[in-house]
Amino acid sequence: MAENKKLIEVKDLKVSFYTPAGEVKAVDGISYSLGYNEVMGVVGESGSGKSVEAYSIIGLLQSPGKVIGGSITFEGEDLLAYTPEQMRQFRGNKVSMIFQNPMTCLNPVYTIGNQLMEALLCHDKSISKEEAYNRAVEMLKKVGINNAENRMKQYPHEHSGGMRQRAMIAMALICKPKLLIADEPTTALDVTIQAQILELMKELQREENTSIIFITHNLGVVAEICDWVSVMYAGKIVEQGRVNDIFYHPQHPYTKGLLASMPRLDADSHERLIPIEGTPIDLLNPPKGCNFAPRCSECRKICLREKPPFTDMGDGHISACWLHLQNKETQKDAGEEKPEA
Amino acid sequence: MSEAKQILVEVTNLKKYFPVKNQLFLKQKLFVQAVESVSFFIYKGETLGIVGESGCGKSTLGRAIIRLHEPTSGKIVYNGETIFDSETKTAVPMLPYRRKMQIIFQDPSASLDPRMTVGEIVGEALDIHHLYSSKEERRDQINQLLDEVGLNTEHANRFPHEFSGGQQQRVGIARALAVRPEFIVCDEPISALDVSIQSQVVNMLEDLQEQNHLTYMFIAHDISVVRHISNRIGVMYLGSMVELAESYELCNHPIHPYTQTLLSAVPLPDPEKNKTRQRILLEGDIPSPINPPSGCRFHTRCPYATEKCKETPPELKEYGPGHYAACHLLDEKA
Amino acid sequence: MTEKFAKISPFMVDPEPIEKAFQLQDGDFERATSDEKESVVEKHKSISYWRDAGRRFRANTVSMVALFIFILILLFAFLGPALIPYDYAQQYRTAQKLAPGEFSKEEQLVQNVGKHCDGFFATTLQAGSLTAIRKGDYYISADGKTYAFNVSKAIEKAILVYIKDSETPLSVVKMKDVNEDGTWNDSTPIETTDTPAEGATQIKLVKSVFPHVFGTDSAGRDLMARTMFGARVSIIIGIAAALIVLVIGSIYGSISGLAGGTTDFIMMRVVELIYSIPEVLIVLLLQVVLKDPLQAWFDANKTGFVGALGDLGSGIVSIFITFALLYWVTMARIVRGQVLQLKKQEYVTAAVALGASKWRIIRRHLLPNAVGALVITTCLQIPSAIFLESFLSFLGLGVSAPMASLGSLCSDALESITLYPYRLIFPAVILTLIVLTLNLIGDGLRDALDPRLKK
Repeated sequence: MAENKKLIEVKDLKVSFYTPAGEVKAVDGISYSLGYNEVMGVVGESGSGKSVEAYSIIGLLQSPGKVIGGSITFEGEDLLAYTPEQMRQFRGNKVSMIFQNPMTCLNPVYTIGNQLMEALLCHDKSISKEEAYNRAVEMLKKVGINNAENRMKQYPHEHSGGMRQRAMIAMALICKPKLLIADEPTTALDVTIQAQILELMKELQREENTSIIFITHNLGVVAEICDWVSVMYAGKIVEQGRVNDIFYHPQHPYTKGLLASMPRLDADSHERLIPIEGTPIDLLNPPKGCNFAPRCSECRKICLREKPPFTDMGDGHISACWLHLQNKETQKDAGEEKPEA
Repeated sequence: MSEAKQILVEVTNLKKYFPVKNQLFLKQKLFVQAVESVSFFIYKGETLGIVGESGCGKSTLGRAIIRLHEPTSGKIVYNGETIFDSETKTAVPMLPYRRKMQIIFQDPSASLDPRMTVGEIVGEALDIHHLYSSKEERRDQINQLLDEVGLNTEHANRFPHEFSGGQQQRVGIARALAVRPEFIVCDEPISALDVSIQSQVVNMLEDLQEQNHLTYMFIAHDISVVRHISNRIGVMYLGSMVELAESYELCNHPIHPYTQTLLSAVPLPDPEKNKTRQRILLEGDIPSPINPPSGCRFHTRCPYATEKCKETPPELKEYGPGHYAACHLLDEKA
Repeated sequence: MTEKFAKISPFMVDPEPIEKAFQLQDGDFERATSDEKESVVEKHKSISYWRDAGRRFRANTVSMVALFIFILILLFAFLGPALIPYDYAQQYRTAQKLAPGEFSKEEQLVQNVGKHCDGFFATTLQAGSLTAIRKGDYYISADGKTYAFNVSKAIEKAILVYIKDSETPLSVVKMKDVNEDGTWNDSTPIETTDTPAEGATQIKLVKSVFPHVFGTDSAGRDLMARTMFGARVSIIIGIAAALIVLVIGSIYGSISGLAGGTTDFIMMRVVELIYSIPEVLIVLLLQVVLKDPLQAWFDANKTGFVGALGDLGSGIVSIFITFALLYWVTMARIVRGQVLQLKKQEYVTAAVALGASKWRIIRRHLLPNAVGALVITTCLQIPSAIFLESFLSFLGLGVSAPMASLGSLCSDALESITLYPYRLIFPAVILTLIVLTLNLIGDGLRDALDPRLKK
């Protein structure tokens, strides 16, 4: 386990949405931590809660959503206790966020340059407008936008999708935050543009030593850029570990199912996909036991009754499944002590 | 696949331009050149995959073939019968062909009428073509179709919004199957679905193809899925088909620079392979189809572009058994 | 089970060791059957779009309150007149300029008389055309008996008094013979028989004078009756005008939207032209120009539809004509917008791909999906039509006397607003409530029928 000092620590975070139809437990007790200069991928499908938990870190959770439990600690400070003023200074400065659709988060009535400079000026009142301009131009160049000075004067709609995404990354990184939260930043992009953006993010991450929480549903992208992976399903983390462990030694049936159901470009022959049966659960009425149980091909009776605890596989690799305990039980009976990897 | 391959759909020089709106006072009319002179054929019983990025015109191509968009020019021959030919000004009434050529849409929540129940949606196809002689027969057919796509027959009285995305897509597939077509255009049928559901639908499409002897044109932007389900793949860039070959051949030995870039850009769910792979990264963004580059449309981003590429658009030629590509540089190599 | 499971990854907070937290049972690690898996998943009921919209509407408190109030007003306007004995046009000279609930001197007198008998009919106070009993045959039904009589000369300014158990139950008391406390000095008994003659008119007895709840105006007309009538007129005009607008606007708008291209272009330019015409000016012009020809037309045909129009007056008909000519443009735009939007929906494309004919698409896909917008727009058109009519009537250009609408009532009340403010308050409040509640109901409908995100 990395001996890094923790940049951010999320402990047992619980977020619920109080809708007219009832309480939706969007995030039901997740924990993870991220060190400096690390990239963590949060993988999940729609309804897994991956975006919601990121929004709670940066304090952008909107009603009817509320954090109802747990803690988020950033460099030792409790984020959930921040006043709105503290959160405002924190955002954009220590932690930044980039979103899936850059068109909806770039203000169409201001130029790119204006928005970049605004990001700088509102966090650092000491610098002059001229310096802010220079730094903005420099940032645009860094994210690979050619003709940066002209681009500063242009409006978002004059840029293409890939360029807008780059502009958004520029805006997010201009104040040199320690943590970047990327919410599906490449999902809406074409594959070749996605490759460019991922390269850019990797480069910037190395240069600025920024940590990234990368939220996506695309396992390929996770394998491309992340050091650590948390797999979420229905508001809970089901598996977590280093990227190699997750991809080469997946433990949880959901992770295994996802990997087995993806058609592989590097497969040699046509093998029938092994899908995960069933449909995503209704978070309004989650099942009593493991959330994944109704869809699990390995479901046991206890899975329907009790929520499984985490099992440690070593080196930070954990998985929440009853089957691990069954294996351990049989091994214990057989006299072995070593856990199965 | 069978030895004697019959051609089911043949497309020759298909063009589809869309006029850009609000141009009353401009001298030069602008067009979105969505599909630019594409020619290919689809064998009976096969799945032809069409893959490409935004602006490549793959969706437009699929819809133009079944004449949801009327092609600007070109020729479409279905099972030996010409259904559209701009040169001889042929444009046959499509109603009988709607029974043979169907389409599955990308977004099931948009393509299912929210005011109709699932049973009515599936039954509409039966109503239009009078495919039953009694009410009971209609009901039986609807139930059978729902069963074929893995839905419960009691779902017939429910509304689309009560279902998950994957189930809605099944309804869309049942609707397309209702007329018992021979050819189905699958327009990004799994892009809007959750990852864990996608493989269910892919498997189901494969099973249905086998059971019903269907021919598919499978349009998607995810080349991994396209490769899995298709026998042959056509790669499109900005309205032109740049390469066409058998699936594994195309993915293992791509010869067009764009295809090579596309394949190398796909992130694999395999961290070590990603690290060691050779990546070809293109500069810049995809040009707009309103003002496409001259000559070969890829020349602005192609690492090997020459003067000739700027001037003349290359033709789709065969460079290996069943392996076609449109690139001037390949001529020189040959 | 060792502590190994208690200590989980450094990511996690310390949980409890498994032995404490869970009770593992025998057979827990047996495979679960698919039935067991299914039983965990809950299913919910099916709801159609309209029922769902109804539920949403019912949940909207403001709209429900508005609907309730509007229904009350409807009852007031349409059922009310049956409950009060006063007519909107009948003038009672003895009951002029009364405040709400006030009785005139004569009424008070009659009221007092009523305390000393079991029923009465005051010739000065009754509604209808009988202000005096003219010569002829009449009968009265009371306590299960019929008393028929005839009058040889007209009875005016008198009270027909009925005392149940007296020898001659029916007698005439002249107003001048009535004392302050309601007793009378002299009365003339009437001879009655059991069977009324052929064609005898029935006289209804009352036990007390119905109060003028809203007071009366300077001509002695009961204001509540007039307000009820005015409300009825205003609402009917509003609904009729909205329907005219709906029919013309939706036909025009849907043709324009469906046709598209040049046809749509031309049709929309026509709409814009019409939109720029000042409507009030046209109404005034039409009023002036059409007044005489319309009147002649009405005079010629007193029955049927034309007769009904004639009762409304040329002013109102001019308003209808103006609506038909000018006001449908908003609806046309909205319908066209709806049609254009719906045309682009993918389920319409899907229907085309199935081979559906244009008519089938309009009938099965476009219309049902547009109904929501149509209902909302129509509902919101009604208050603006009512408002316009009130405005015109206020100016004196709408309904003509003796017809009353809420606007004309307000207008009449203006001249004596300082002396009798209630004459303005009642119709103005009712008018405001009608417009307000309809707008709120329309808003509620819009929220209910417009499916928001169903997260």
